[in-house]
Amino acid sequence: MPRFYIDTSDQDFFARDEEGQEYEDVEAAKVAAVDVLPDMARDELPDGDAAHS
Amino acid sequence: MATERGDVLPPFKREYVMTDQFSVSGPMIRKLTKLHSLTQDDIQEVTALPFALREIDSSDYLVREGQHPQRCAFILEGYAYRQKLTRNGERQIIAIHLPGDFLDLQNLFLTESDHNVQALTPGIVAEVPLAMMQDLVFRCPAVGKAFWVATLIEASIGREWLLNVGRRSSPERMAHLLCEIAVRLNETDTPAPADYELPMTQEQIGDALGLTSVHVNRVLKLLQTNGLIVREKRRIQVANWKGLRALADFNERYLHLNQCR
Repeated sequence: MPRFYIDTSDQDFFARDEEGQEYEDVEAAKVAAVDVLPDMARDELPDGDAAHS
Repeated sequence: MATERGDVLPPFKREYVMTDQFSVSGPMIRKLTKLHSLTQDDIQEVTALPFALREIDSSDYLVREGQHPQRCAFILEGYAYRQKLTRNGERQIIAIHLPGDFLDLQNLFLTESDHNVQALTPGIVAEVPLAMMQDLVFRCPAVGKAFWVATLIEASIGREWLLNVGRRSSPERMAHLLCEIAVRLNETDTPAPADYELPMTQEQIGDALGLTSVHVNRVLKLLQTNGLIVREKRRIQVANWKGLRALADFNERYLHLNQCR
């Protein structure tokens, strides 16, 4: 399986992925890239997870 | 990641019986005496157990869900983890085990395993036939109590992990895992608190923290940018212990390190 490196960036912070991960194909890698968005959005909330109890 | 449920336990590559019993029982006795004080008779009984040593490779199964374990294992070298899978093969890592940990004390008196235990790294485990461990519990109540305490501490760590995954933010979860591993490694026979190997892929860390592997990369970078850790490949150096603890809301009370001191 090919290895994909998925960098992420929001307004404040850019994270380069040096380890990468194997995915079936580019479509699977895209799904993984989209899947990170809820985690990133949650971290931007004022109190992290506590804010959406 | 996606593992078929009910796979048969693969045969292990090498298996042999150690002739030098003491090098096996030594770490186990050191562990037990941290949990409960033992008499000389207790120590002799543990030393006399018929240990079989087994070399394990990364990902080898040590216990499989649905299995009826016949042996009880203790880690001499390497790391292991406990995991459960959803129907779709989504994995949750529910505990990490380090050298000096018992691997399946639950199954000392439960007849069917309810989850999987796998090697995280190559290593060596010492195995004892289950019946002999059960027998030991009744012949040496102090050893029985130490097993019980070990099981209670595992449950306590499980509660902390539930809190971690359920209620903490991603950076807090990550920081908490790093604090826990650092403190627990410091309790093993070869302590390495400030700078240690976390032999987990981003995917495995994600499965332990309930995060995607991509987000794990991001959170590790964030901790590094904030000067809390330095990470080089899988080596973690804690650069600011106070800061990491504070972020993680880490209090080692749940590890019960002073149970027998």
